[in-house]
Amino acid sequence: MAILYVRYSKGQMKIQQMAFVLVALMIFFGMVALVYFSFSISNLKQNAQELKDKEGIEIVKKISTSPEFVFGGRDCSSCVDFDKILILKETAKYKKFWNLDYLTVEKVSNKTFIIECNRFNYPNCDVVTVVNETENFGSVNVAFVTLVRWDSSLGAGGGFKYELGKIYASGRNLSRIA
Amino acid sequence: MRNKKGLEFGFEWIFAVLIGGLVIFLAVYAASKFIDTGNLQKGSEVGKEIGILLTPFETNLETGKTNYITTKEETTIYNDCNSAGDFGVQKISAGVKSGFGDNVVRPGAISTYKNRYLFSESSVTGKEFDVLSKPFEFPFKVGDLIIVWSEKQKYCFVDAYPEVKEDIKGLGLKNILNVSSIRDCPADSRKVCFSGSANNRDCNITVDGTSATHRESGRDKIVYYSSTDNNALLYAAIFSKPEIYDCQIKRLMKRALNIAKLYKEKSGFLEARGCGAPRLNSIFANYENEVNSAAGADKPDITTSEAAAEELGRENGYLICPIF
Repeated sequence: MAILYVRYSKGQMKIQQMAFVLVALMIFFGMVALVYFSFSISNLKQNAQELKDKEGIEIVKKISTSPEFVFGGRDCSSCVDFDKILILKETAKYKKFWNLDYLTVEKVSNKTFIIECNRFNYPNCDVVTVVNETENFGSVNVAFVTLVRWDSSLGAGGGFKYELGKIYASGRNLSRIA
Repeated sequence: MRNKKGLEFGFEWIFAVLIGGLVIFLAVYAASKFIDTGNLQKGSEVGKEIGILLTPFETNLETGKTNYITTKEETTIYNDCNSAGDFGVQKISAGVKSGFGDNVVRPGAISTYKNRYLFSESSVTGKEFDVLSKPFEFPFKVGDLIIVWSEKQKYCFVDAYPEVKEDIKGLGLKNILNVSSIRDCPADSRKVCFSGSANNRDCNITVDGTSATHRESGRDKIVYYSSTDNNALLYAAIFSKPEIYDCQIKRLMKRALNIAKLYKEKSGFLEARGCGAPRLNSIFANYENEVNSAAGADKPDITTSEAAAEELGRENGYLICPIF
């Protein structure tokens, strides 16, 4: 029976030990890096979500002063032009103008059924949807405004009618921003 | 007996030194990359936050608004503008100084806005930024001009118009000095000379009623502003880099054109409801032509469209049911 003797020198043993330690160190640092990156990515996602929500809040607070919404009279700070918003709804260029996924203007009423406005049923309707980019738009911010529209039945030659309304807006999901 | 024991520098030592060196190099490289990525991330967040912070600066009934933005670390705001498309795009990004390595500040991710008009130098650096916002009406409201400059940059207005002096005092504009002679200006300030004192060679910017000339090392660059809009464009022309100013004017003209189309459509819609304004149609057509040519020009001169805007505003004022 042949017996095979394998002889290791002291140096070879040390190199082997060092190699094992190195591999263990690499695995350890790799795991630490994985934990760090998972924390950092979740933090980044949270920050992005917070920024998106913050943007939605700021936009809804100021959108009534946007030229496309504002009522021309210089004596009303929160008045929006409902006639103009109806036209705005039909203008495709404005769908991506604000960084919003959802934007509607609604008359405040106690109706059970809300009717979407168009040129044929206006003003006997409740809501104008200006932007509706996705089904999943997340949290929606609300602001109260005064809706102003021309009513020819008011007074002798007609006049402006003021009604209470609400603007709903949701900031654009950051993953959808080009 | 002599001690024959010496320092043994065998293969395991060479191996340890090589691997050790490699590990240290990788650690330093990874640390610098982490810091770099962290700064980029911070810059992106700050850029987005600055964009969001500018929303409350939009004006309501007021003719002007001032405030300031402060950052924890020294920040550079990068302002870029692109006039292509229906509305053009405002691009904002920010870079935060790390205090590690060289002084080059890399901008973070760019935030884009179609409804913002930021007037400034192409990059503004500091910890505190002065912000002035003014509505731009032509003749209806088109947008808000947001003018930004750093606390580090002082401006010296020589012989300014009375209404400008009033604005500076009333709005409490910081870092702007009002003097009657250019000799009174601090050496490190940017000198803005108004009509009377405009011939002085030391002026960095000269203003003459409808245009502002920026004296730059290569050649003078002229930009045009409207004198009918409550001085909004005058400030934009002074505080902005000429190329950025021209780009933003093109974008504003494009938005004015789109809003005019909305109003024209609204006018037609209301006509059927007893609010007729048939005369406005031809005036709107003329306005659209003028504004469109200003939006498409290489060097936009807003003064050429002023008459059409004034006529539209006048005619709208005569209506029983004003369109805007």
